[in-house]
Amino acid sequence: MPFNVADDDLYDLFGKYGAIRQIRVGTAPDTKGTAYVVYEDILDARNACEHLSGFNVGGRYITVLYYN
Amino acid sequence: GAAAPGPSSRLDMELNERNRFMSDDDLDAILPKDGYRIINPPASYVPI
Repeated sequence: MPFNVADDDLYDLFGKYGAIRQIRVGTAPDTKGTAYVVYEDILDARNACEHLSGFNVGGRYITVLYYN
Repeated sequence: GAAAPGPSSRLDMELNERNRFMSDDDLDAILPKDGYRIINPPASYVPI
């Protein structure tokens, strides 16, 4: 994930796929550029995964991985 | 978060209990905490 994505953008981008329970954004040197998006419903998470993988955000591609 | 509207019958309560959504502590337990900041939803955010 590009570094300059604002919080609201994250909610806009991921919020399209379902109700978001929580978003955690990496702030430390080793976590910067990564974020965890928690959906209320697992199906929404999968839906987001399928649509967003490889999506271009702010000039950089994002990779979407399941965290389990 | 805010408490959901009160369930009336015992059955509702039981259903709610078993189906309660994950609290922040639950999330903290499974997600990394250090090096991460939890962001707040924008005022205009409406869960679909």
